[in-house]
Amino acid sequence: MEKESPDNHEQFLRLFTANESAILAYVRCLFPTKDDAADIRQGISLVLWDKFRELDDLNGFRSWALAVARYETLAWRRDRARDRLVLADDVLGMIAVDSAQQERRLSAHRDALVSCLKQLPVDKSRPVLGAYEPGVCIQEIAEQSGRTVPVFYQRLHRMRLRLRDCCRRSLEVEGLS
Amino acid sequence: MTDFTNSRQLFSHYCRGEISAEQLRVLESSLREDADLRNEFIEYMNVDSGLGQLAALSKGELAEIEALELEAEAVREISGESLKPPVLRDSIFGTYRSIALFVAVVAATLLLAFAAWFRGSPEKVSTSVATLCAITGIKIDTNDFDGEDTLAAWFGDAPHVRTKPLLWKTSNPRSEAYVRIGQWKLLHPTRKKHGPPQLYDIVADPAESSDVAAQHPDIVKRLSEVVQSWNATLPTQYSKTKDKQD
Repeated sequence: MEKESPDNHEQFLRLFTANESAILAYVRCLFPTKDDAADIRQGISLVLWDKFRELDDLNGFRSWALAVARYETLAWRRDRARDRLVLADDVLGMIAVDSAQQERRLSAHRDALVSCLKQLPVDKSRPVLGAYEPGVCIQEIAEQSGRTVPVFYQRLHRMRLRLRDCCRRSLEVEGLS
Repeated sequence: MTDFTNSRQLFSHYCRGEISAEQLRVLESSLREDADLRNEFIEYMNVDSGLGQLAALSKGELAEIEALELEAEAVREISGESLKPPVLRDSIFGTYRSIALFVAVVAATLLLAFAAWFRGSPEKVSTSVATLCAITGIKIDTNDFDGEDTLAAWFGDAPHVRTKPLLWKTSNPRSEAYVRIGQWKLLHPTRKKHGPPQLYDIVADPAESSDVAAQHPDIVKRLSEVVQSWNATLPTQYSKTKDKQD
């Protein structure tokens, strides 16, 4: 099948869309700032499309995509992030292996996030999502909620832990934990 | 053994991109040695990534996802595979409906008897009466009670937003009185030597660290009137026991 054929393009889009969340979550683990992670995500999607014709078994798309993401991440770091505070290569490798093994559970966690967020009172869920909006200024969000930036970050941290616990509980009920 | 509390704090620093070199070394070392901590880290960053994706969605897209979630939940409920933890609605209207209703009726009856005993001071009766009466279908005049029917919140259908003022004070006629309406809480001192009324925006400032009475004189006036009018209905003498807590 030619790479540029419409069928191939459609197949790639279908697989990429289905696995995009997993790839993004994986990359987020490897990079300490959202801006860095956003940069590399774009690069990874281009590389995946470029190498798609080399993939023989379409059922293995996810593990292949995560492996490509890992190598691209390491390359990106080698080229552009020598002085950045990112995790050591061996730790990234361990996270890569563990993430891949747990992907089904992690994916279910992400699915449960919508309902877990809805369980939070609006005055708590709104600033949490607000802090993640593209191009947002954390200082402004913190001021709007009447808090200093460090206090707001601490609150955000507690919210992430609370949401993580809620996702775990949802999976326990579902029998996926 | 890894100190998970401190390590989680390092997750937060890493997530913000504001981790120091020393903190990063500690985090790396902990992640290398402890598989459980690695899993915690992966789950934490997974939530962070998921929130980023949800925040990037438009409100319409988010509403669409929520609608799909509800639809899937409805399908699971029909097929007996509900994913949500059991809520009060299930326990009352499911297998134990009869028992729950019986207990509710007895409790409501006892509380109503208690309310009748306290005739003349209905503020002693809590929100439970109005709620239990709503469950059992007993008709009451809600003006007789300070409490409100919170049944919808019990069932998880909607958060309860109180409409009546909430007023309280100790059983000393000269003690300060309090009123809460919406976001505002007013401390109304009865004695002048205790200073002027204090006003707090408890939504923006839950720790009540900043008295904003000077910025909102109209609200202070309105809430003071409410509290003074309520105070005038209270007994001027209370029976005291030897209990210092009384």
